[in-house]
Amino acid sequence: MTCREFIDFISEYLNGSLSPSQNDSFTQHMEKCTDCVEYLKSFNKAIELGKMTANDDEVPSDVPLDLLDAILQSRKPSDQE
Amino acid sequence: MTAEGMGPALTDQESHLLHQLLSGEDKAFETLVKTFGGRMLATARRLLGNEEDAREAVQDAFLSSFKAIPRFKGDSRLSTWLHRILINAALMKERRQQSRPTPVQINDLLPTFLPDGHRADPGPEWRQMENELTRADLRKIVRAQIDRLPAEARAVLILRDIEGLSTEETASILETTPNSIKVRLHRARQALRTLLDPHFRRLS
Repeated sequence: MTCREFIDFISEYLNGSLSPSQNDSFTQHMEKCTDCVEYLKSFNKAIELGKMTANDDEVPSDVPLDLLDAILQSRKPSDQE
Repeated sequence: MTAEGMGPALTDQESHLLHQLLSGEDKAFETLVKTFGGRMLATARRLLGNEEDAREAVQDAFLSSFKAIPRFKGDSRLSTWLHRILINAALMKERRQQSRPTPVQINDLLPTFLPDGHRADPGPEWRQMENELTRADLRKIVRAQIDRLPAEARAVLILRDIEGLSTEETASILETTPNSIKVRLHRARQALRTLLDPHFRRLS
């Protein structure tokens, strides 16, 4: 497996969808290529950091009242068409 | 298989709501906005990066959905259908945003390789930024780089990695195949890694 193939397969490796033989080639490549190990770590970190932005979000469970009113109000004219 | 056929069908609760919407019951429209509006606003904020545009996109999406309800076939979840309309409304709004910087091309953000298959510019390893920056500052950096991704890549990354939707539901929302979503997600993740690299690489 080349570094290019290794990088192509990372997402599938991370979600466990590689075949057993692909998985073996993948782990064998890691044993001999420190650049790819570092790439894998930083790739994983990038995903983790993306997820972190969501964890800190204030996801509203309710739609703000003024927005709710605006949406329902703007529906009215089309009713009379 | 079509994109439409991939999502699960309506829940009983959604069927009931849809029936009331088709009868034009005012209360049903309010229920629709109250049930799905919060989550749609969260997605719009992530996609557009500012509150005013996010609210307008949600409003546009609901108005489009009210008009489209008679044509909704009920072959995907109501939430999936509404999310699809929202993403389209948000992307249309983004195209009109004058202030938004031109996004980077995704191909320019993918790793490059030498003819022998080795990476052309391996670069130094990443350092632990958690020790150097507050969580809020870290989040600001990551958000800014997600915002630089091309719209399509950003949408896939937000739906799959940040909101945790399945490949199938993301495919249904973005009206494409699960395979295409897998490819796009992998490219979006590589692109985000490239954009974060200058901020995280160990200083030599």
